[in-house]
Amino acid sequence: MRRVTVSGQLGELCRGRGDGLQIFLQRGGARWLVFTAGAAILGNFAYGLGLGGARSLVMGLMVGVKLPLVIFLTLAVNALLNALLAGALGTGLGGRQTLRLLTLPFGLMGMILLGLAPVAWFLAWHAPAADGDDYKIWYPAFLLLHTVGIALAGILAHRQILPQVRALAVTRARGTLVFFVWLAGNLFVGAQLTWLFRPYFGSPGLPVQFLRDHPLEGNFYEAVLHSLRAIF
Amino acid sequence: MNTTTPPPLPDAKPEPQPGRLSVLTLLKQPAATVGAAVARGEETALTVRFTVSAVLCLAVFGLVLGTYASGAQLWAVPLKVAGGGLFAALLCLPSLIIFGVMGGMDLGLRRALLLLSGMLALTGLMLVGFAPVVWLFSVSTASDNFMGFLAVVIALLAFIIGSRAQWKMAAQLGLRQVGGLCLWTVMFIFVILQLTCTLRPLIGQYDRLLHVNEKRFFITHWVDRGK
Repeated sequence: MRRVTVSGQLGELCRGRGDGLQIFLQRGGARWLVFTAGAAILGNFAYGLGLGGARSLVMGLMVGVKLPLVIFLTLAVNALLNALLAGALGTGLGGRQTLRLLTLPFGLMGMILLGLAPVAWFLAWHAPAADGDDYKIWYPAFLLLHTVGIALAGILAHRQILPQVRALAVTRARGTLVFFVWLAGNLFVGAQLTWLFRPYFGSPGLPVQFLRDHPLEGNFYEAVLHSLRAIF
Repeated sequence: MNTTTPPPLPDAKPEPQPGRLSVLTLLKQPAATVGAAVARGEETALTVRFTVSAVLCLAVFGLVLGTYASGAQLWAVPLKVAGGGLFAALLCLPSLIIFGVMGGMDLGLRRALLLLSGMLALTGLMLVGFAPVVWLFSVSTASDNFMGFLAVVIALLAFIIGSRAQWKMAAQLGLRQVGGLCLWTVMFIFVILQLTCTLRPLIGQYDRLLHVNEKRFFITHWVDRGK
């Protein structure tokens, strides 16, 4: 029997193809589920450490815990909806198959973020003191940069499962449609969950804490607009 | 009627196999160079050759840049430019492997190092080509801002050429989807731009080797310098 190595599994995950991946998608398998979940946790923790580390080590550790949480909650919040949409759009994909398909991009996103983590740490090391004037310019730029970086990592990771969704769906067109619906839903919910779990490096003048005192106030999209106005 | 049959069209010209692999063969035939290195099993040897070339070329460019302020900058700037280039490459190595594999490349650590060192060596070589231009301005202008602007523009131009070769090498190694590598290239530029601030002073008088305790974002640094 062929020995499955971690690097071989990582290669299959990154390429979005391979024997192990096909078996997982068709029939399931605990090994792949553990591998993708592990990749998601490891990558998000490493990147989160850089994100929060810009403020302090404690903040880095907090964000290292929060980012994987956001990922798994996004998957959980959208799980039922995504399975229902797959059925409603006539793809022929069942609930379990949908869930298995959607764990892959989150695992791959973890690997992308793990690759980007050294750059995140490098940028975090340059963070000016939180009580200085430079921090007010640096903060919105850093916020936008990471928002764009994480969103692109998510989109690229999802893109890798598109051929699989097309292959498993009844028709290629329906596979494409449901893929974009899932992607839009995951980005939309993921962004708002990210907002609820703020702070990530802390607005100037606000203390380091795991969650804000009123985490449910406002939304992600208003915050991005505010950052854009602050820069330009 | 006497008809003449036109001579057959020649076959598509195959890309010639380069002889001894070096930065110069990379400059002319990036894909063939990396293809030959893989076929001959010379990936590691070529990576070492590229890395040495990159360090030397970056140091030469740094030396020319250092002539603007002269004094201690004559040794500090070459050290920082060569070291900074290697540091940026190592920082971006993990993401290159991930994006490369996602793009369909057959890429492990050895080949990723080959791609990176090749890009860096070619960027360095182009910088050496630009060095006389930089020297011309370094002896004739007294504006730090102009010299800084010129150095950044030239570095970006050289990087574009190095990056173009890297894309051709990546295509040779099986790259099919380019999205990830596009993102990686933008990120590498961003890291280089931040390093221009981290490694300050690169232009202007030497006061100390690095301002480690003054952490700054490169945009803030540039805006302040421009005032």
